Amino acid sequence: MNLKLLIFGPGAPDRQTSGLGKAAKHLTDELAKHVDLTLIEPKQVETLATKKVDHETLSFSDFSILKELATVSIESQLSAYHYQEVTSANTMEKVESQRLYKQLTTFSEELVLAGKKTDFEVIYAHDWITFKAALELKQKFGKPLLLHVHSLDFDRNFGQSTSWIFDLEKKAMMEADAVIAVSQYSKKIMSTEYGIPEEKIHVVYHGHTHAKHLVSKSPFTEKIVLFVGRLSGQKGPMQFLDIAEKVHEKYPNTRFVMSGDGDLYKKLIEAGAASHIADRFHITGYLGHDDLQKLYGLADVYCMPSFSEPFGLTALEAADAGLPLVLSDKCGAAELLPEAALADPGNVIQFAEEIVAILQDPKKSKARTEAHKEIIKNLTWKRSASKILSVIESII
Amino acid sequence: MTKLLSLTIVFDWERTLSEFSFLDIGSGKSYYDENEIAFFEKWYKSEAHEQLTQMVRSEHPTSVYFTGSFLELLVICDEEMVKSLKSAVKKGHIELLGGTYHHTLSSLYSGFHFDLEVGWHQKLIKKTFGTRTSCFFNTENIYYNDLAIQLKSLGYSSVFTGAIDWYLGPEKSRRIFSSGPEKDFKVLLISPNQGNSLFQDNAVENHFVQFDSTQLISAGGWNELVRKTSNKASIVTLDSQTAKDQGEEIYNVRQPISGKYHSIELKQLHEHPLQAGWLKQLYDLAPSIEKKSESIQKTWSSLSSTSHLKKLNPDLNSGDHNACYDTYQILINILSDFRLTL
Repeated sequence: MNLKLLIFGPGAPDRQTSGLGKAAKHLTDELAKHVDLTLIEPKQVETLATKKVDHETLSFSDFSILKELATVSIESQLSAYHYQEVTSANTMEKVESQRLYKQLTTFSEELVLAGKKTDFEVIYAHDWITFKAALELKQKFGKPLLLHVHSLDFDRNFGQSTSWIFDLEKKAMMEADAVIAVSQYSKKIMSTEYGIPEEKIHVVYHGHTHAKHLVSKSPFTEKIVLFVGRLSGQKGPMQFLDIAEKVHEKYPNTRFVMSGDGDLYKKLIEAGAASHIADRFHITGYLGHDDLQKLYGLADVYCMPSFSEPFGLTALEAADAGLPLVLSDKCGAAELLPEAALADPGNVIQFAEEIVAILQDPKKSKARTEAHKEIIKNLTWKRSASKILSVIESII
Repeated sequence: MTKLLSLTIVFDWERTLSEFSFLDIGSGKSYYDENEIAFFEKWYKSEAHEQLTQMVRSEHPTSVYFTGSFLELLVICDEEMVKSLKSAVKKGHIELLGGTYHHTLSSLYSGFHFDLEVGWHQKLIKKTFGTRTSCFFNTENIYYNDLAIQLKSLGYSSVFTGAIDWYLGPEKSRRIFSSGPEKDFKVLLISPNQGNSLFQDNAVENHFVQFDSTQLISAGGWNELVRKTSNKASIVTLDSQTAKDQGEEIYNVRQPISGKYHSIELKQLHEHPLQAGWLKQLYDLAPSIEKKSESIQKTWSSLSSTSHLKKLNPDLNSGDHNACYDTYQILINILSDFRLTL
């Protein structure tokens, strides 16, 4: 008889537009092959549910568990990443508003209600929005709790450690039976900033979905420097504009493309319009899989200036597409990509110099990109799921 | 005192940009919606056709500014209307006005672009109606002294602009002036608010009132507009008013001013950072297109249309907060594509 696993999924933003969503989806698919799995997550994700899920939107009190994989939609909607958008101003004071806390409370109540109706042996919860409910269920039923931390409040808020979300994350990690970190970098933050015992933290790197690479002929004579990610402060999109301006000063034959959406979309466009590189600074908005692959095919270098990136799935995607990388030195994926150039996201000049060095000597980058492709070949979600199962077995 | 009123109606077609993404650059995709003609026909039938029909059949004279964008499609979609207009123009019943081809702010940004647009507009009017224009309707009624010199050299004898009260001083009731640098070039000051205040000031004898096609419908249409105004003022041609005025008072305007005839202020069309950024990029290209073909020049010119500028101001697009930013990105992609053709 299979292990009965209750997953509290991250839901929003959604499975397609965030690393958290993508990772949770792939891991759930793999785990479902080995355990009896019930997935409960915010309603809006339901429309993007896996092929195995063929039911229509259910009201929360009317959920049913499918044979292999159940997705139960809940009415409350809360985003693990977008909570800064709950208010018009992105100040921590605003984020810590009563409104957000109330949303979390309602959301958690619904999760708990659903969880109570489910037969499970282990609770497996993704990121902070599910932690409150997961803790409550653990306390009520005494079942083991595994937390999977894709990003921390510390990452999202530039080293902030005085919020109630930080406190919630800390409490949950302290009380959980095990915690999965997505990188050694993230494990270190859990340990040093949150005080979580290291022996409780297991690093499981994300897998990778190997894409068919499209060879695109660029219409431009310029080389393209690419950013892919959520347009929020954590990812350093404003840094990218500064970096782009510096790169252009030193290597004028360049064009800059940002792919993604987020709360800084408008601010970035206005800043770009006022920049001296306005005529070569593009923001594509969110791109679907095929268009993103085309974009990787057009680009010459990938840049990730995140201020704190627990993992960074797009770095793997870019490397798989054969792009040389310049990554933040605070990026988990860099642990798997030893040939990537690293730079301090606060140091625009250093970032720009690394990019220019790649643009000036593409042959030198060739060997590095080939090495990354070899590494990535071995990265699978199956392998990641297998490691997670080992962690689960260790806490039963 | 008999009040004299000249009505001017503006017909513009605001072209819809296609969803031109970064990945479309270099693909040959059109910058404008592929169903543009169908969209125009639908809009024309609901908004413009009836008004033009009433104007053509009316006993009262009017002056009309057709943008090049409007006229190009009118010729394709309603040949009969073009014939009717041509006949009305010949009789002197409808006076056609000169203007910028793409309804742009070129008079503020580039003398070269302005000359091009006026030339194209004159050519199109000549080709379509076999006539020439003598009075100029500049976009947003922009005017300044040097513009009078430029317009006179292009064959015009008068232009509209706004009445600046603080400037007019003791001449506040006068609406017909000579320009500063060109004494025989007339400057006609429009009445604001579609003439709502037309009859409040008895001292004002001459009135120039402008409507765009949407406002005309809001006013009840051409026939209703005439009914409302004709018993309070004599509706006359522009020539009738300017010929009677023998004064030589000068409207000496060194810096550009405008005349508001609809709900949008001039500053709302070019002062938002997205608009300013877009216009800068567009006009930075001006030197490189000077020697290009008319087709390339027209493509570039059309991108500066005020219809695009309107879409770049969030205050004018309150329904969709991201729309202006999406439009800006589309325009940047289009301009990047356009550069590849240079």
